[in-house]
Amino acid sequence: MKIAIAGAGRVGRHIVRELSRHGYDMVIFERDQKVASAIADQYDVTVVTSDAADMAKFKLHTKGVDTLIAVTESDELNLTLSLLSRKLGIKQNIARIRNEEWFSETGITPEELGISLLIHPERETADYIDRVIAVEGAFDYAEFDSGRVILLGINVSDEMGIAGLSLAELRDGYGLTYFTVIGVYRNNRFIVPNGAEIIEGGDKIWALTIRDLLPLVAPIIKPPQKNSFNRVVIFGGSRIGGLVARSFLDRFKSVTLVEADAVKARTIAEEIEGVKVLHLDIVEDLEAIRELDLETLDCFVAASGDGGKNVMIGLLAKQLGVGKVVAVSDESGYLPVITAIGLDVIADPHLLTAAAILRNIRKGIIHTIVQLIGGEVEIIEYDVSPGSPVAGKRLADAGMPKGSIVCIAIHNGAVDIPTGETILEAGDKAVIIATSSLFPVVEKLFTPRRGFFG
Amino acid sequence: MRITDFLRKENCIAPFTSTSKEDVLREMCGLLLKNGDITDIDLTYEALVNRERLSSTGIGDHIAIPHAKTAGVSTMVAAFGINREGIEFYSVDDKPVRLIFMLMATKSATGAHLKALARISRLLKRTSFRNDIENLDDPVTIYERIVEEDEILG
Repeated sequence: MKIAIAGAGRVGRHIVRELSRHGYDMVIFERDQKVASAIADQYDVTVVTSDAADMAKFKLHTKGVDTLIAVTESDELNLTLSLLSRKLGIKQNIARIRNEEWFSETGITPEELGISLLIHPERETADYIDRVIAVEGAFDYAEFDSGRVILLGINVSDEMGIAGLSLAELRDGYGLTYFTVIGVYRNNRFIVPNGAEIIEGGDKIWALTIRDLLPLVAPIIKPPQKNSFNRVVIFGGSRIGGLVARSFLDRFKSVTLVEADAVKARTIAEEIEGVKVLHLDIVEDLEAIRELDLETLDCFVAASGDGGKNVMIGLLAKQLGVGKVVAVSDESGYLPVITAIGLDVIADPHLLTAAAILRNIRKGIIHTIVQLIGGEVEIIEYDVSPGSPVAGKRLADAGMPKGSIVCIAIHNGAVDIPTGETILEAGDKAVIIATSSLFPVVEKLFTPRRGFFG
Repeated sequence: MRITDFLRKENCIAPFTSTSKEDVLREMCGLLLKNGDITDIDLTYEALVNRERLSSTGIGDHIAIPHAKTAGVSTMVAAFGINREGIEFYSVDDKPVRLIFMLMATKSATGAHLKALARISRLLKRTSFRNDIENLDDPVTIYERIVEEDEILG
């Protein structure tokens, strides 16, 4: 499968990096000479140094392309390229559009224009924040199998019922077959645990569950002495701030939004009924933050347009005793450090956009990729393709590298916890955890052997 | 997997007569024992109570799914109880519990146990089904209604 990517900004580059690891054939359009040659040096891909708006070149270099990903800086160009790609016979096209009003105000649907998928970065980010917040006690959240399987990151405290229990006890004694702990981070070390591993207070753990059974998991991982969420403060009346405020109205008894700009503050107050909007500049006037009673606050979301300020204000909020702090920031390169110094969740619009796009590259064998501990460990969902080395074999005989684990297998839409006896069949899906360095080996096992079958 | 793979109509009860969480768990264990589906009532009951100590299986909307694994059963078995009055189950939403779907499995059941719980949760999430079944008090009719809804789930 061949993929064209228009625009190599942060989103574009992230997509190139992920797809090239999995051996996709790619052509990239980037007008900035420096960025273009850096990509050409780093990856085995075709780079066309031209404005993607140069239609003649675009047409010439997209021969044989199956999927277009339009992620240039310009909404208009992304739309135009998507429209053009249909004419050129490109089957799937994905466009990043910042301004949702293109569609909401005109009533035109993406389907009418022949666009397979529109990604709105702000909406992706706001939705992610809403999902993360929905599970109290989770600092990390990701979805597999189109949302049916959920990964939760949990900070274990001594007061939690699961502290002091082994994974085997949880599974076979308490019957928590729907709470599969697949990773433990303790003393700066990541462990892929076996049944004998005992969960301790202070651990960060990652566990898989299924969406249908989330109501059984939620009370288990709920931080002690916390009742249901009551108060949330959102810092910043950005588009993300507004979307988050709206979705939080169902979750929290009280939703407050703080905005430094008087006009913006007034607009939001008029637009979103039920949200208390304060016109306050808490960056300039740190004393003003006291007015927010952060000591008794359940949740704080820093969602202004400035990622640096979001991190700073978020840390301050955490220090003042807020239960859960989320900061919107494109600086997720610092992610391990930031979470280590106290923030619960970083929502990175660029990475979330890239992830949403990658989820939709359906033809591939890979669905979701989740990175833990700054990329050291990864969790990847694969399709079991016909003719791939794993298909039809007992897992014990499939040649999976030591240190990699098939955590979940999905057969006919039903989630199963595999053992060495489990046979993965073509058409199944598998969720695998391993250190990043093992994935090239895993990848081969899931890739059809074209020499024999194709 | 179907609900009918692990639930028999003999193990449906309406209304259950207990008025406390512990009593209703014992009452339903008693039903399973009477029908020969568990071999050891104390082991089974202890496993259930132990699981409840970790956190309540009252998942909100008047539903509870108490479950555990125990040597007291030889295969996966379930009991289903209804009481419109509802009882205190320390549920997440503090609402009294009216529908109790109890699932017991052997220590080694893993995948099947997970699938069964997922199926039960999907069944009980259906609002129309919940509203209907709450008003039934004959085990045969209740079972027929479950079978019908089970079919719809596919």
